[in-house]
Amino acid sequence: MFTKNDKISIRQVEVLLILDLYSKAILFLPRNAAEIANQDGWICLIGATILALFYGYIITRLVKRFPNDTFVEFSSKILSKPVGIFLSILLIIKLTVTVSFELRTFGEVVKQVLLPKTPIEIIISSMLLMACYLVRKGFEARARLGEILFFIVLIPIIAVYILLLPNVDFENIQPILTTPLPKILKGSYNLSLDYVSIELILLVGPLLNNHKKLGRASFNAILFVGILNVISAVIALGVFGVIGTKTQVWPVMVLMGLVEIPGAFIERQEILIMTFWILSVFSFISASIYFISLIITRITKSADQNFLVLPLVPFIYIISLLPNNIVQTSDWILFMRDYFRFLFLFPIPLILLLVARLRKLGEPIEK
Amino acid sequence: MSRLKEWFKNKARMNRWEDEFHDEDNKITIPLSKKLDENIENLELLFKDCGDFVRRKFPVGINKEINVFIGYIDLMIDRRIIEESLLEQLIVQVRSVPPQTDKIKTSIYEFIRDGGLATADIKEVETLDEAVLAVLSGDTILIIDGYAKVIVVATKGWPNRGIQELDSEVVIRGPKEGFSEALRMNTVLIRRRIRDTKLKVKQMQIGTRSRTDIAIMYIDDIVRKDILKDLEERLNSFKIDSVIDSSYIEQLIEEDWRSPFPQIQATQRPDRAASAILEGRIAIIVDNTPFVLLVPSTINNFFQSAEDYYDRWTIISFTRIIRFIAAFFAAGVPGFYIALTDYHPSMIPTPLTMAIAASREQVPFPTVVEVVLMELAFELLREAGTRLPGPIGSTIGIVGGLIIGQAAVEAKIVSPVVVIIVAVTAISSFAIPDNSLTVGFRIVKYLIIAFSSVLGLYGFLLGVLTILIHLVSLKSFNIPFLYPYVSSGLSGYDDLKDSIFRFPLFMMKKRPIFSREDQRVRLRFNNKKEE
Repeated sequence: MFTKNDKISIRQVEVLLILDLYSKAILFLPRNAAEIANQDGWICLIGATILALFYGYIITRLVKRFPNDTFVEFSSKILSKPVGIFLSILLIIKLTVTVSFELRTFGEVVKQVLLPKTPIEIIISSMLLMACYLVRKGFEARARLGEILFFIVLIPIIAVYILLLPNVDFENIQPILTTPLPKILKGSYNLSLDYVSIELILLVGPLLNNHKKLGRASFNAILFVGILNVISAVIALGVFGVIGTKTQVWPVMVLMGLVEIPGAFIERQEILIMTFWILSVFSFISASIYFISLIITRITKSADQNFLVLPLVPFIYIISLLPNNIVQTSDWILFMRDYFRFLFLFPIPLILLLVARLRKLGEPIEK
Repeated sequence: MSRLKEWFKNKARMNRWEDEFHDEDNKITIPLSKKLDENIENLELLFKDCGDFVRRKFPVGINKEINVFIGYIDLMIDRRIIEESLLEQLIVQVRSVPPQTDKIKTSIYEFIRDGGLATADIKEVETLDEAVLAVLSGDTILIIDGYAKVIVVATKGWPNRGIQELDSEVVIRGPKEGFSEALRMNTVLIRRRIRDTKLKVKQMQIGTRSRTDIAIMYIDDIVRKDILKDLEERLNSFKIDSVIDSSYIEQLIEEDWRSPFPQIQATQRPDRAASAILEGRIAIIVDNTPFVLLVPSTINNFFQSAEDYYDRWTIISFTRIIRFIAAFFAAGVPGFYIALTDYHPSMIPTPLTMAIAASREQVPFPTVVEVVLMELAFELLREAGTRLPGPIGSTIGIVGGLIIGQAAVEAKIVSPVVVIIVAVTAISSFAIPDNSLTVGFRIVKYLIIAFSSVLGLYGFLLGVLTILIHLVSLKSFNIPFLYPYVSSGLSGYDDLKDSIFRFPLFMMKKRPIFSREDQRVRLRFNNKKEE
């Protein structure tokens, strides 16, 4: 009825990126890190953050060259239209599968911790529909919600970290640097794939009102989440020890339960912390659905994005229910991670950037 | 087929308001004539069966050579003005001091206009529509034979209740007067607070039948032009037959009609309207109602009370936090209670779980039914209480709240904990300063109850998320409704100084986002060292 402006500010991008990056891996990351490099897992996480910063740098350079295009348009411009569309469809498939498995994991966690008697289908579908509701409200609403969720999610979690500090036994993470360097590098690479949400920057271009600071924003967001991840790994390793961390399915969740808030009214506060995690996962899922529908809109050049959202629901729902159980889900996630995640994080953006430079496409970045 | 055509024809006719004298906007189409008798005939036709229309045709001049007609609506006028400034001048004075008739014969109209009326507020109109409208709004018309023009003398003076003390938005400290039903009196109340020629009062009329006067008040160099333009476009975007209260306007120009939350603030306090105007907002004053609309409004405005700026900042910051918690309680407490007791009793400390379980032991209903039952009982009490006159209303409160509550607990229909929950919810909802916002939270409470009763804490979260998603997507005149809690970068974070905390007055140097970007400074100190 009245004018709508769908641009978001650079600060909102930063906040959204932090939420999406954080929710993706926080529950599992300490365990994965410990499995790779025992007590040196946190060093791998530092390496992973540095790698992620590098991915972020390449991607933002690419996006800044084409400020008004999404991945769909600039890949078509750079590598001819068929290739561009092929890559975009690949990205759709990848995002759909990722979000489906993420949703499944989410459903399993919620079922186990909060609602043991509720069928997982209900948990998954309610979450999906809620995400669609947000997506249909547009990206601007998502950005504003992100700003609120940012505080609701991160303040309690940081508070928990601070409260846990007395429990950390630093002897658990000694001796430092006993792992051989190649193993640490390999581990860093593997863990850096958990920063997969960076690829969403590829699509965010036309939604921004100011591109100049995009690089800075992604740098800040990745660094912030990287530091949080390192801290959570150090705390998990320090509290549980190496073997303890490896055997916990969700070490961070258990950590939350250990906190003793003086004079707290509520017991089993890990459930409460869980709710904060749900919020950040919600942010990731809605982001993925938004971008899937955005890519389809851009490929088909249709004017309205909203009507595309609901038809996506059955696909995601069915794919999320394909694995038989949580173990299979995480196997499939691992498979996806090993073969697909890397593609859009590094090789494709790099090739695109190089070709764009050679062909002198897009706006050169002014100094 | 022909029937269908007829139906369509009728339908088309029903959509139009025109007849032989009126056009589609109910404006009178008859032209003014130079002959007085023709004009009188037309007026008689229009005012046929209008018993409150007073008219008189009388001759003026020494030899009674010119016929004059005056007309007005009984009791809507100030009789003193008509008699002293108009009739006496025309009938008595003009006759007693005879001018040379032959000299002024050609300019009798100007003579009467300039010399015959002892009042400042007159104007000329050239259509019958305007003349009739003037009569209907309490002015007196004067038609002179031989001229197709009408002199309108402002004689408005109908009875009204005057400026009275407020019954809602009460403050302990601060001005006590409130807006009343007369538009002009309300603009005066604001003008008295802002003595600046840049305070503009733009008047228009909305309502094809009611022709209600509406005034838009703003400060010309503070208001944002885009918002002003938007508002004017929205006000001109509809035609309605009547505007009985300002809420008609509110409902017609708001962004999202589905929302349970208000997007335009209504106030009865002139000091509040004045301070809003000084912040760059626009006040819409509608005749016949004491409720003045303020646009744009964000959720922050609804959480502010007028008193917030008159009291010390410490206590106000504290009460602001209380209000936000109250809002959360008003929407969330029943749902949270259901989620905890039904799905996650392990989260409640064991002694309390035991106590709750013991109190629920003989209650036959599930928690949801219990809570909804009590909530609805409370809504019933509230509704009954508002309609009843004062003394009986408080009796209802005592009978309903104390006796029924006590009896229900003793009869084991509800558990005492639920009574506490419902009472806390109710009291919290009254702690929100703005009534229309309270209504919003009252409604969404049931949504959260529904979600929580099905999916426990996860459902509670989904309920809260639904409301949050709705709130973030709301806008009031293109300003995010949740501003400054979201998108606060829009004006450099200054607006956060007047949000959950109210900073001391000397720190709030800038106007909020409603004002134009180059007009943000509202306070500066002469002595730089003070800063």
